Amino acid sequence: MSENSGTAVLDPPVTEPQAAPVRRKRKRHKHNLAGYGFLAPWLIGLFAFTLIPMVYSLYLSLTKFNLLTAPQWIGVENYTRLFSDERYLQSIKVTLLYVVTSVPLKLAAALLVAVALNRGLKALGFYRATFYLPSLLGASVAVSVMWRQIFSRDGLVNQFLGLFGIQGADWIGDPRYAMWTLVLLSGWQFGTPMLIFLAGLKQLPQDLYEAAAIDGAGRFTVFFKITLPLLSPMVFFNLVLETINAFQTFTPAYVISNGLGGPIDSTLLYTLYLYLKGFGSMQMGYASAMAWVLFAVIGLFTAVYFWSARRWVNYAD
Amino acid sequence: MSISRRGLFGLAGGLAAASVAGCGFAPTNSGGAANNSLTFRWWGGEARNKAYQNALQIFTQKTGTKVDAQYSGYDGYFNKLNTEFAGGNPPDLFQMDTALVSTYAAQGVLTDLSSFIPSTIHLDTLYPAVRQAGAVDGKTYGVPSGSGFAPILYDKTIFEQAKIPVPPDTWTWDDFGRIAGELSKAMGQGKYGALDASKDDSGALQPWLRQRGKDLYNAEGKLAFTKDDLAEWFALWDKLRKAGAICPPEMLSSTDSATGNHPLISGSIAMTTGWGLAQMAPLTQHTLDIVVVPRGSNGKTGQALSGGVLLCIPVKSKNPEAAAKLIDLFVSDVEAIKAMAMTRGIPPSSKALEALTPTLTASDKRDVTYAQYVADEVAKDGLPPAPTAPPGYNDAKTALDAAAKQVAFGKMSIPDAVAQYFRDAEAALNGAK
Repeated sequence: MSENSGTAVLDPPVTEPQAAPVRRKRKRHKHNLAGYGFLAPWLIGLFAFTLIPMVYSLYLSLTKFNLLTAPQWIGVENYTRLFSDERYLQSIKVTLLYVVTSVPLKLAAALLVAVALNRGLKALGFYRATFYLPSLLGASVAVSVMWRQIFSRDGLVNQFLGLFGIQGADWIGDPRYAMWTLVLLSGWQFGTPMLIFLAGLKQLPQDLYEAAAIDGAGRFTVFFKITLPLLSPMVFFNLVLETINAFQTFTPAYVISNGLGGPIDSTLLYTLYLYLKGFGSMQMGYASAMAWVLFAVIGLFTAVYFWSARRWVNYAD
Repeated sequence: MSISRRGLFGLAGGLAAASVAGCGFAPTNSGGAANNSLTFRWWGGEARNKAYQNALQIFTQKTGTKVDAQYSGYDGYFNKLNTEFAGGNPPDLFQMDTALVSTYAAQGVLTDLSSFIPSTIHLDTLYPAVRQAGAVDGKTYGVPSGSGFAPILYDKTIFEQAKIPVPPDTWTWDDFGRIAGELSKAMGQGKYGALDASKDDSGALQPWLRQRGKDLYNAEGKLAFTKDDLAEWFALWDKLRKAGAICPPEMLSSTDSATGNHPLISGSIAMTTGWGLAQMAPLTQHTLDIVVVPRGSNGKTGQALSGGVLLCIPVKSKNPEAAAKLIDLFVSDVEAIKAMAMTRGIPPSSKALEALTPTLTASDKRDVTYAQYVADEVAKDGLPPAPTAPPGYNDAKTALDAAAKQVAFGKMSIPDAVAQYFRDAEAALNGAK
């Protein structure tokens, strides 16, 4: 068999699509128009509330704009000023710390609970709803206010510690701990990734588990050699989403620190500083520049995830 | 956000619970104002909203001008206002934070009210000291609708339990430190005599500076004190902190709003700056009282009379004449003054006070008598009135808060914190020009 004929078999003959008659093209165009018509509500939203404001904020980021008078063009000055602004650098430090601690914590909690719930519980629906509840409340102000009360000086945590004769710290007021109350709050709201993991776990092929059981694999081996690799697309999906969410966290920091990012800027998350600059100091141009840098950073993180995904994410073929 | 909210609420005048009701804005009449109507926006608590609306009814009866009332809590008030200014559609008349008037005036978005004075707005009925509250570079951009002072608020019940005499009106900073120390000892572990007020610009640092013949800002909008002054100020508080007379910095996280978490209300401290009776007294069973901020060794109080909140007319107001008439109603109409009583702070004129005196409650009376006492003492000080807070004020205030807390948490030495403050505050004041 010649080399030539082999390829001929592998590659089915490709027929060039014939140029459609003009009449058909017009018809297709009409078809498309109807489609766009149905899409219009979404498209209008996309342009009016996302794309146009984004482009405008890109323009604003190149201006000095105090909201009261017309923006003045200053080129890239806002961007160059960013990196000599100590509070800005502090906000980056705080945000990165928040992202690299809260995301793994949240995903670990989500996975743990999902695996625990996936063992044929009777009242699964009830438990699932219960664990999802904190996420329903989500980034709401009420939860943040409650958190502030729980960790305040005379709050629930310190009253509990007091039972054992331990004098608890001032969790919200002490710059060493304030940040960790935010991380804990994020970890507690693991409902959404948990649901995704749970859905993923339900679809794992049982034959692998049966084979492992026959081979006498222990519970941990099964988890790390079978469950986790098979679940890696879910882990990847959750990781990307939660990282983006974490970078954009605003409400808890705003409420818990009374809108100031304190004590001594220890909870000054990126978006909180952006808000303070834009609306508090009325430097909307500067704040817009901050928003675009954040956009770029989130894009970069996501790109790195996708690049690294080839090495650790297994898609069932 | 906290655009000088605390400083503002610290006024002894009963700016009753102005931020508490952070509810949404009332529906906007998008039709705009014709000649016989007017949009008026303010922030306030429930009491003020009701009182203003009563006054507006009186206005409509007298002038035939309909007023579209738009009100909300302080939170978000300026965000929404700024957005409207940015869109070129501000209200015809609005309530303004005294500390921010120069920021807005510098952008040229406020009407110079001089042409309405004295023909429409009878400014001369106000106390002389508050007439200039809304003046920037000699032009009047806002008219005060109330007046007030920043007192020391103390928990009288704790003083009685500790058998320590309450501070006399003649006390000095040395007395303050001594009394705070005695209280700390008497109150027991984890409790402290006084709030760490090193971060409080208008309630503590300003009177202290004025007692020494200086001030926070000068008329040119620059800092009116030196690095040595600030270093001495931080050192004063550092000494008290190390002696255990004032609260540790961890407690400062809940001092920005009048809630049960405030250490004065939770019983962790016995004295605080920045708050008045009107906001705090309803939150506790304890008896609270106010006293003038400690005096300098020369006996001066250094108090600066505040205009409370101002009323301003945007340049783009569609009905400035009617807006000016409404301002005058707030200032000089006896019927309206009676309708609003103390909900807008202590009325800024003796005429208003005379009209109100027969109907005041006990705590209102205490606020009024205290305000009159302080007004007399301010006159005795013989100091020039404090210049209006300059553009960039809000960021300069944040810079003091940051520097003071760096020292309090032991993260920075006093000279480093002073240097940081001067760098950040000067940048803020210069950048706002």
